[in-house]
Amino acid sequence: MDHDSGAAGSGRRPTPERPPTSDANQTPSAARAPAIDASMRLINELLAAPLDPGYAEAARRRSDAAAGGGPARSSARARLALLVAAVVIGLCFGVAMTTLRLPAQARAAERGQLAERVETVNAGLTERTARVEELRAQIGRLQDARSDAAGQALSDRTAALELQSGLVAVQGPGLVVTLDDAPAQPGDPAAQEAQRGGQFATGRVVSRDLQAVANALWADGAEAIAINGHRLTGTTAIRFAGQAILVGYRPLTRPYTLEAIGSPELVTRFERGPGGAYLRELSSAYGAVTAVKAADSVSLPGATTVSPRYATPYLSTGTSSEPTAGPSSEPTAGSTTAPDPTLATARKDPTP
Amino acid sequence: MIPAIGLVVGLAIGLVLQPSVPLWLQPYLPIAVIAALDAVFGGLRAVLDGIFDDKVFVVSFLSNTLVAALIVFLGDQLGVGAQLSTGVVVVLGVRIFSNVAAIRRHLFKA
Repeated sequence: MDHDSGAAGSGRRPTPERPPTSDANQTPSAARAPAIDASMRLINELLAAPLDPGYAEAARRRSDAAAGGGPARSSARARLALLVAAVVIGLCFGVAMTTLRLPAQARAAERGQLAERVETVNAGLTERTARVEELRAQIGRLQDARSDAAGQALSDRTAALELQSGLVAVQGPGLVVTLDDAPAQPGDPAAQEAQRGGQFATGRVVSRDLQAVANALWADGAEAIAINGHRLTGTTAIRFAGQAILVGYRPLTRPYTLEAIGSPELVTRFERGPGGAYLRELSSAYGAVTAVKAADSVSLPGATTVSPRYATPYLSTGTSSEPTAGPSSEPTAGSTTAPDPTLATARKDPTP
Repeated sequence: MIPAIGLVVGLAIGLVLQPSVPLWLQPYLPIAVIAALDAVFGGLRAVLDGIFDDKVFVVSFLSNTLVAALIVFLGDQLGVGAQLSTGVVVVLGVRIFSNVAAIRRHLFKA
């Protein structure tokens, strides 16, 4: 890496950039210096003359002045400027040391804090979900404990509504639909690009696919559906954020398993209906891995939240003064249009 | 002697006071550091060559820093700030390497 030797003896520069006293360019390797190529002029100049020509210029001027009997040394002002420049340079280093190194640590700490918060909140969520289950079981016990007729009617009514709304864990015969992304071909650049978080790969299962399958299952008479253990209710959204599929705002990871409870004919109806056609289309056109199989008994968890924001129970005037009787009065809004209040196959899971 | 003292004093000030750099200045800080390094090694080499000059040192440092900052600023305005920053770093880095090589030859004769 003797860059200086590149310029040694080339003589292409009209002004001598180094004084005769300098021995910087009289290196032993000058003999094996590569020939200067015109096309390499810029590189050679860059590599061969890194020192400011100003130093050589100043030295030449100084020696001229000394020969002419002028002032030999620099003035006090130049020395002051030098001191100031040196202090500024030192300041640059010091500030850079403290400033440019801190953000990395700060970022790492921030990242750690965020991850910690996510973990804490997730743990809290799990805890509270368990608490919801517990309280719900307690409510059920208390309702069962009311042995009078009104209480019995109320608890029957509540049980039926809970079953329909998806609030309780249920089990029954049904089917399991499995969906997975197309296996990535090693030679496929699009798939690799997608794996690095680029564009969507065509073989990727998207939220729309899950929506279509879930809707087909509902249409074919499924009474309860859960995706990857998340129970679908009337208001559960299947949507996407970036490339992640969210069900009820919880992100899913592949493979996607839809479990549905319905009559034994549900499987054949689904496979012959639009849902089965959709799945076959997915697997033939995009290579997605799909499977449908009947199950004798499927257990689905209850949904954790069913919280209507705007709908409130409609109470007729006769019972409005008695809050406990409210839910047992006919809710005119929903149930008049509901087709059948009893579910044929889904039964409340005895082991919640 | 003066530059060495100044350098140490500046370094101490920077490390002790830890002044907060305004946000708009932060993209230029790495460039300023590289330019300062270039000036320092250039000056050191000139000292060893016996041709050190106060004025040249000050002016070359100031002008290098200003030009580097200007290039980075221009790049930011044009949307190629990262590339031009890389260019500045490469050019100054090559200079630093060659100057260090010259210094090494002076000191170790190798």
